[in-house]
Amino acid sequence: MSEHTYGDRLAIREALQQFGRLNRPVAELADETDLFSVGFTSHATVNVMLAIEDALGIEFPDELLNRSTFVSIEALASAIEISRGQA
Amino acid sequence: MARASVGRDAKPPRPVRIGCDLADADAVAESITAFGERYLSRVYSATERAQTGEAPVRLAARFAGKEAVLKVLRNSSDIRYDEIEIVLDAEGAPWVRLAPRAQQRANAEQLGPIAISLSHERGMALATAVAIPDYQPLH
Repeated sequence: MSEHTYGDRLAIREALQQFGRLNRPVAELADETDLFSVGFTSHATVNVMLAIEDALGIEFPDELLNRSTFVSIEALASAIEISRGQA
Repeated sequence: MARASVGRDAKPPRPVRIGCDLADADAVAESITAFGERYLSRVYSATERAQTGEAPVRLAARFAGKEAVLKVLRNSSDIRYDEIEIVLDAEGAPWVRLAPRAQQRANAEQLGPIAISLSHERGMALATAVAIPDYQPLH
């Protein structure tokens, strides 16, 4: 795993821990876990998005602001890569 | 009594579209504290912010309203929150105002005007949105 990827996933997990309001500790979640199945809400996706943007200095493009982007840590990591590519 | 005839090619009416959502005012307050203007401007229009006074429970009702409308629109994963406005008319009743892209989605789904109702109690806000498909105005 590259340093970039590791840093992204760390930022995602920290954002989820602080703002995700999940019903399980983030440390227990696999990258592929369906976040909506562990209590993630539509409003929490907004906070997690803003926290990730702050941490990584990126901005998610509009076309990525949908449920599928926030379904898992893996999906968020992919969205971050796409967002960097569009900077 | 003779039965009324029904055209062979008559299509059955599509079901009414309905969506509802629940939002937590504490979560909205947390967002404002943590992200301030970035959160407010990303999610709510200037009208919504003015009409709610940015009170968390009233913003939560607007957020729930936006989610309810998204459920009515379906296939709406690319519609931004700020493209759906929940605003008050002169009598204080909420109604849905869609930005052009969101209105195009409603038109593509052949939906009539979207009606909305909001409520909140003990820090939780609820919204229900309804639209009639294949809507034909009377005049």
